[in-house]
Amino acid sequence: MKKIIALLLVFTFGLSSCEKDDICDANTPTTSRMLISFFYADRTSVAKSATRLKIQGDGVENGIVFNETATTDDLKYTTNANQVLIPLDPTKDAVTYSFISNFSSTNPAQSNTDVLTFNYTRRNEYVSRACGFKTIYTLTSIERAGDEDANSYWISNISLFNPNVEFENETHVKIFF
Amino acid sequence: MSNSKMKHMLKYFSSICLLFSMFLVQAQETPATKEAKEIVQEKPKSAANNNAQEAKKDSIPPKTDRYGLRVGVDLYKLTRGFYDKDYKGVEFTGDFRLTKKYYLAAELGIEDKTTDDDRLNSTATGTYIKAGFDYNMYENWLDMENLLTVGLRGGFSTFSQQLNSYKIYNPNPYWGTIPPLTSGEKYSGLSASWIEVALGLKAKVFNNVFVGFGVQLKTLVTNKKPDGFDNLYIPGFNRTYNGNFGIGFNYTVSYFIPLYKKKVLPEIIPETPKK
Repeated sequence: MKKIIALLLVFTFGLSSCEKDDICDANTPTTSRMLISFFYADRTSVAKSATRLKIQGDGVENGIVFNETATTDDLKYTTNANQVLIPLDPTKDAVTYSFISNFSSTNPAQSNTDVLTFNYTRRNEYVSRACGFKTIYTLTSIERAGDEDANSYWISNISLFNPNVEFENETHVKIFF
Repeated sequence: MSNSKMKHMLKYFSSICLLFSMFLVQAQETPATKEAKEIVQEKPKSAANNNAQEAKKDSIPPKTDRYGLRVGVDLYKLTRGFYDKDYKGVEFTGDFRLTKKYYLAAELGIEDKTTDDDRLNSTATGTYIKAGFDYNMYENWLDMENLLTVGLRGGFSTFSQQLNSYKIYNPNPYWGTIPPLTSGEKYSGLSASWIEVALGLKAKVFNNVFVGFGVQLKTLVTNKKPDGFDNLYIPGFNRTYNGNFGIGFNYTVSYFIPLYKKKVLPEIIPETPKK
């Protein structure tokens, strides 16, 4: 009997070490990125592919990685897709990105840069024990740097389509070029 | 469901298996003692046929069971406060013997627990009550009063939670990592109820003092969650998981207050001696 009690005591302290955490499932919707879709400037309902588009945050060392496995920087940081997902900053109320079309590190002269600032409000919402909280953004405005001289920009028009950035499967901003 | 979760379930499961294996060890003792009991009882019986007078002298005085109230305290919860700065709590236990095998049982407790998860730090404070019954499976020999019980409880807790700090999950930290944010928001008026299956062991160490160990498997029935947060810890129920599952245990020291005695009817009624 006494042996059993001693064993149970050991078991008691073994059990108390079981309190560990689980890991946030990648499929759980957490902080979402902003989905930008590209369209033809003259045919606003037709999706258009970007040409070697590089998107770089203001003050960030590298551009957004579009091709993880690419061997050259030009391929890694550029995309030819008609949609891009770009992260907003959960600690600030605005982000500024350079949208560099026709990017080429060997021939910088042919590229064209538009600088866009996205303003938003944000709130934090509880997700789960494992994931903690997520940030939900509400876009308020989009500004383009420089004077509005249409000829020097590659983007002809920007439209705030859905200001509520909570999920990544719906377009939030439309860019026409 | 995540892999780590399954691992934990397995861990608990194997722990419970371990506990059961201990009960099996316990159970194996019983038949041996039973046999001995039968032999003892047979002696006076055979003697009774030959000489009734002699048998009377040899026979064991009639066995009595003591009935009363047992009150105790959970030593694990009580001592945890000394070495765990995130925990303060106490649980009082009580049981009252109804019949030979059945006991009314209840636990009353208060807890203040800070849960530090990877992404959340929260404090739950509240009181709870659990009430139900225990069934003693242990066949006591002679005047032993040990208990090996399986029981059922209904539990209820009222509590509040405070979110101390949290982290934002950002799978794309392009703009850098986010430091933890302090909150301090308090969610009060929360409650939960649950049902638990309790396995327990109580051994009389001396006089009327018992030491016991118990493990409880719980399932939530109601859970009033706050808006914009979750009940990560419920006093009495302990840590919550994705489902309704919960687990708990206690290590008690209790004192038995005897109130009255009942004579145990012998299992084999001896034949009336012929003269």
